[in-house]
Amino acid sequence: MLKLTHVTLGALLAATPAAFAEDAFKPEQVTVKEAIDPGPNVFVYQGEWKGAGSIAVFAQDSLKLKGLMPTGSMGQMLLAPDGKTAWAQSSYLKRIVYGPNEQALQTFDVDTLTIKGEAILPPKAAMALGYSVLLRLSSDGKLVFVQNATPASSVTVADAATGATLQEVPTPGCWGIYPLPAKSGFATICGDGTFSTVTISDDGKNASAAASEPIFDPDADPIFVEDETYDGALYFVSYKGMLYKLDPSGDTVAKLDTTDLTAGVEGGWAPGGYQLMSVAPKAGVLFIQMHPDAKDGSHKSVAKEIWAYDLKAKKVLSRTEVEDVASLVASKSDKPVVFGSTEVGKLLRFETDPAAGYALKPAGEAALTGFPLTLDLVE
Amino acid sequence: MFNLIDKLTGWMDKMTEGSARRMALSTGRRSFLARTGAVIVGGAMLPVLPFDRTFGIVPANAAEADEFSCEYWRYCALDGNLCNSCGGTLTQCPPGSEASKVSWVGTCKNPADGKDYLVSYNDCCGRTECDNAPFCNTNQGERPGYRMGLHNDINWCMANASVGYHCTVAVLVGLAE
Repeated sequence: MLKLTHVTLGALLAATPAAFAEDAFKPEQVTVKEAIDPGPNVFVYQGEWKGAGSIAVFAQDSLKLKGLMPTGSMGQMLLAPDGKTAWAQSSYLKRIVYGPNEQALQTFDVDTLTIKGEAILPPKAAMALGYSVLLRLSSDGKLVFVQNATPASSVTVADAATGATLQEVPTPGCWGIYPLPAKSGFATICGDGTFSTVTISDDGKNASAAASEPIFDPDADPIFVEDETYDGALYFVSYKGMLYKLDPSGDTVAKLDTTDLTAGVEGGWAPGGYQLMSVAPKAGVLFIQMHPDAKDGSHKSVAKEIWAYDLKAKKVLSRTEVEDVASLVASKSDKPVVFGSTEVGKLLRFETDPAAGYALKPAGEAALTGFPLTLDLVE
Repeated sequence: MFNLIDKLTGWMDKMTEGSARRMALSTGRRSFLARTGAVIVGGAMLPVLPFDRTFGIVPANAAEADEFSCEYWRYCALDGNLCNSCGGTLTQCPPGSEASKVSWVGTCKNPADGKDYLVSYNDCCGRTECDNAPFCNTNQGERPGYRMGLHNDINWCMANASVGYHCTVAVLVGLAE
């Protein structure tokens, strides 16, 4: 076969020298594209538990994949508010599934998808499914907070510029990181139904904590750890659909009010999934994943509908049937675009119609891989 | 049931609260894990109840009988691949892997006797994730990480020397009161 091919090619070359001379073949050269295409992005953390995960960058309008930023396994991603810098916390096991584990905090330049720096973390960062509340930036942008689990809970405080660890704050019995709006520090949810407010010193090296009054009942109706901020308030939702509006700005977290999202709705609907809600701030609308026939254990069920809920009027504006959405994020414009991910590897894009109560209309689809449970976007 | 779990996780947290900073300077993670492991392994070494709790009653459905189905009653709060379909058994990790030193706990009703059992879901560690085996995700009584002993969206191989997730077993460790 090889010989025959060579003979044939040789005969062809001998027979037609003139033709080759006239149209001289110009070999292409492989290069590396210097930067991603301009335009707003949506980011998806594609978690992996048996190899390398990645932060995937898609164009918000077309869902064209612009590229990947590489991470280790069982990690989390974090985006700077300007969308130019990304961080990832993840695990690098020497033999991928066994051997010593080195946990790294990587810093990426989003425009070029390059690694700007990496720092080694204390070897206790939570190895979890994708949850945005496990890796967070302080409100002044100077500190990165890393949720730890050994399984005892603590938070590593790192310098956002260098990744260097500044301190480890014990957060016994508490989980999730909710950056304080006006000072350096974070609130965290505790297993007794309170919140702990952790204030960090200016140099990042010391911390003090204060517990709130009980906010929720973790036995009767626990809250999801996913949070949203709107108009200065911090929102959580419970397994049974109670929306908690909290004030995180004081010395301790305070409960402002609670509203039953499903009041008067038949069918046993309840919130479910992973990154299960997102606020479109200009519209004042909360998009939230809902499933019917809720029962004990159904809180991770993917969405059969996405509800648009008016946070000021406190009413459901629309309900849209969707295909098994596990996580979502909404854009901030007055005509929000909603991006959802599914457990079977789809990134879905929906446009909304303000005149129809922000009902969702499918407007694009792309392929995902791994456990794509965390989404973020910058406009 | 919550009291037992709170006691375990609360104990761990309390110890961390008091000594985390000191520990970082003096004793290090390894000895902390050794002590933590001793407590949890101690919990797991409560007498394992007999496999057959059916007392001769003929099982009627997968919830009672089929331990290779996600419907099986002990898997009511499981989130992972079944070890018994990857070379292990209901309570044994596959050869070559390691049992996790810490675990999360579910409370599942055995349809054969109507009793609620505490089920320790130990991950098996240090081998490739066994996607050959059924993946189950049930979550009864599951709570977020602020109730860590009831949380299953985290790698429970976290306290082992090799933290690669392989699969999950379901071990009866007590009766819920």
